[in-house]
Amino acid sequence: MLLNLQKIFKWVTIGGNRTFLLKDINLKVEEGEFISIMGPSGSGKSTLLNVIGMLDGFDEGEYHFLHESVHKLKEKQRAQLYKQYIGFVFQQYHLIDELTVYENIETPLIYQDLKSSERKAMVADMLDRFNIVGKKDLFPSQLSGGQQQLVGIARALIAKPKLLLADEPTGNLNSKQGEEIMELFKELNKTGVTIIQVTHSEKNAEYGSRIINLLDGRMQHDNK
Amino acid sequence: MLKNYLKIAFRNIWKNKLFSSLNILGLALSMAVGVIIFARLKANYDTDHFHPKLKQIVRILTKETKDGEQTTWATSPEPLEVEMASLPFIEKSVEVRFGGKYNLQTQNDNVPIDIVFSTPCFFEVFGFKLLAGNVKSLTDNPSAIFLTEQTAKKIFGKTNVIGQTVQFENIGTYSVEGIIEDPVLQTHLPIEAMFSMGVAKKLEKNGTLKNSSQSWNEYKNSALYVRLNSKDKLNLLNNSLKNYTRKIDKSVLEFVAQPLEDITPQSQNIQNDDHTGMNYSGIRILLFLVFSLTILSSFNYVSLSLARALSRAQEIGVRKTVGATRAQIIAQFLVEAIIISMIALLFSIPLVFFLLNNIPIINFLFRFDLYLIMGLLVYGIITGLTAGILPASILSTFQPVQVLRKMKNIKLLRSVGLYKILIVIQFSVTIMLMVFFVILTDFEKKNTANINSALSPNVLTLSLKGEPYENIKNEISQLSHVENVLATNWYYDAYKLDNCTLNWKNKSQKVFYVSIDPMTIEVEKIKLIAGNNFPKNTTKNIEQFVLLNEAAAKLFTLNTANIIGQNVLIDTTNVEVIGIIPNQIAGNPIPIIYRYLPNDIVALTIKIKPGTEHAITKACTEIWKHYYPQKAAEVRNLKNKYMNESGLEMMGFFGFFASVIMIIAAMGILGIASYSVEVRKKEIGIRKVLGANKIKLVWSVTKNFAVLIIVAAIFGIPAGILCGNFLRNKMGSNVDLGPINILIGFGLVAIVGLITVLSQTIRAGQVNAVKVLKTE
Repeated sequence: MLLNLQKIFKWVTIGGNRTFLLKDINLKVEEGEFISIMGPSGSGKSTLLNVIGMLDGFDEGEYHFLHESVHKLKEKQRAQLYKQYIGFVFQQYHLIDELTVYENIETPLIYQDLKSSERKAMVADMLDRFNIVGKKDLFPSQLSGGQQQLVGIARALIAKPKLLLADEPTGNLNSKQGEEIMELFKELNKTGVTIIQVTHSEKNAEYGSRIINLLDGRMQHDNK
Repeated sequence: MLKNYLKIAFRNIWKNKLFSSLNILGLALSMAVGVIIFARLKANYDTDHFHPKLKQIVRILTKETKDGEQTTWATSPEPLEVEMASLPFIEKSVEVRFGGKYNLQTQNDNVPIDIVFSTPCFFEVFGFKLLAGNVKSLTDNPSAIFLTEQTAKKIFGKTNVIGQTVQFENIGTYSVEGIIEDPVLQTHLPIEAMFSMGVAKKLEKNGTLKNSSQSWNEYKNSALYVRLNSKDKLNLLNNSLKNYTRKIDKSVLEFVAQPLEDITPQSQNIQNDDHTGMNYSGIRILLFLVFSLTILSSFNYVSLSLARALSRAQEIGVRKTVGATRAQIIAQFLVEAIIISMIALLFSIPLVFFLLNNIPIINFLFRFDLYLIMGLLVYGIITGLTAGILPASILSTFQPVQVLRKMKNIKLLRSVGLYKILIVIQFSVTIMLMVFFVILTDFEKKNTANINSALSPNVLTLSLKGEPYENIKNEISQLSHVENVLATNWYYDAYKLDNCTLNWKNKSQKVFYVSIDPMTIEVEKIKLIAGNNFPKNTTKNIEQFVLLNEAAAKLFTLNTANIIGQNVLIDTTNVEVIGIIPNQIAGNPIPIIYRYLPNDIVALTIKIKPGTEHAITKACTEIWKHYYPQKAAEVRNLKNKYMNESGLEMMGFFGFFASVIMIIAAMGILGIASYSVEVRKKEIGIRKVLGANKIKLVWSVTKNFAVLIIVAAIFGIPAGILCGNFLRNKMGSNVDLGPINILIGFGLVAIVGLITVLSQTIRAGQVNAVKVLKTE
């Protein structure tokens, strides 16, 4: 098992009242799954994704990732954990504007203190795999949205994560570009990467092997 | 990792050109001052470090104990050298006798030259070198003189002048037999011209110099340096020196050795030691200046960085999600700050040379060497760290989940008020300095105006150079265009002040006194506050009467008239106070006693008819030559003598300092004003749609800054008044702390600040509502 959420609650207190962002979430994810989280705006999709990605905390419940008990870890240890096992893809791509395509993809490796020669090989590999060798010296502003997202995914994958978290990865793309990204996810999943994506689109959700529906922070449906 | 930091830093600097240049310029300005100060400190530290075997050279000091009070002199009696010659651990010793200034007569002019007498050993003990000539000629040739490069250039315009003759007023003609190389570093022994000891003895014989070469009583004319065979022998030497303790007249002389290295910076009060450079309190003041400038210019960096926090937030969030730790983010921001400060350091160098060439008060031997460059690099790094540490630690706390959300209107910085505090601090300091500067300027202006109104331009002084004045005064007063001649050391300001102790009714005070011509008050129609002038038949030989100025009388009694007719004791002389004179018009109204001491007079004051200055100067010179052909006549216009005093220097310094601080503060506020228009575009657009007019829009952005400047005034103005009050305590009630000065000072800062802000906020009026609201 890759991760296991048990009775996760997350809330904010506004004017003395608790508003639940996540309510009694129980979720087991095996390695190799491709999960789509769906639900209306404000249903807690992104929050759930952030909790899974350890970017955000929760107020109650237990979270096991591989053999670690995430809820018992300190922030620094959690950061260490997601740094090693999780890659993130965002709707707004979130590339660093001042870095070239090559450098954007290289950044995670730098933070893992890899040697320059190793980094070079790995980035070259990734550029090759995504067919963007010709674009490696361009800056994000010189790329189309689809190309930027491609770079975003390449960056998320460069450190060889076990889990890829994608928050509406195609939300800012046109349908053709979106389709290409989803095809790419499907292929990645086939090579063994576990993927959890948040999406609004039924069509994109269909690429996954499992769909989770959220409403007001509660899991409505899990077609496992 | 570092490479990546550098890369992103440079790209960020390049991308945000406005912010970067504001940061760099602000830092460069303060760093230029910093570089000069560090170079100054370095030059001070390096003083005399060019002598080989520096650690073995010591100077013999004289400790004089008289009436229980001990005074330390940098000089010692000449016979001491011979007595000490037998000490086994002394390798070499040299006597340097100071002759004072003598006029070197060139074709057009008299050039005053500081002369010393010494022996060839001088060039063995010290690192001074001869550029040309032979040290031996200093003993072999009784008419030899050595000039330094600088002196040779001053006199001849070149340095290859061996064999040329120079003519000194009073001490004869000599031939140049050696050129002393100008030392590369500053020295406590700045030499202009050197003669042999033989010349000193000859001049002693003919009475030009005091007879001191054989005398233990004269210990103020020459310095004795010895080189030990090892620096460990210092204690041994000090023990031996105890054997030479002498009793002379009323005092006891003891001798101690001072390592040459300890001369600069001066750590104790030593008399006759005029070229030691800066002492520790001077060093502390300079370090404090660097420190406060660094802090103030760092504030700029901090507030500009925080203003830009939003645009950096996304990058920080992304970096954290791809695995950066907080320490790595901090390191990245610090590298960026250090690069900015290094670029600023680079830009400050041309500024440094500009300042060195244009501000006369910065007067020292400026030279780059490896240590200074390394020191400056460290200074650059420290400045970068100081500037960067706060933004780095604040920005690095951003959590990805906060900054990567789709909604951007979340509150990122709880510390967003911090930049307001920084602006207030910067402007408080600026307002303080400006208010003080205006007070100072006003005071100096009044001073100058006072001197101008009291002094006619038609007053000359003739320096007496220790000669009696009776005959010469008579002759000059008979010249046709001369209105009157006074033999006085005071003419609206003192030429020469001395100390005495004034005792009255069990109260004893140290007070300055000045010798005055009794006629001065009558001739100048000075109105006494109370009492009378010296009587017409005042005797010359026995001092009977004195005048006090108001400040001096106030030391003893509130009602100054009370002291008139009273007998007071000045040192050991009993005299009667006969009148109270108003305080001096110029400068500081210090307490002064006006005495009639004809032997003390140093100059004649000659009042002439307009347009006759040239003729009278010539006539006076002729008369002087007739009586004292050996000494050059020195006639000057009194007004020139009084003007351009230290006050102007201080004004220049504070003016410069205040402007630097003001420019730095203006740059900070410029960046933030520009930013605040940028982030409020949407709000401004909405307001515009709702019907606000341009002026209202601009004001809505500007007013926040106006409030900050007013808050700064609440701190800055009282601080400025406090500084002004210090000046007032030192310089007296002429220092005006009134509202006009304060308003001018504050107004200057407020206008510069608001114009700076407006240059940016004016854009608020031009916001295109449709465009900004659409793109949001």
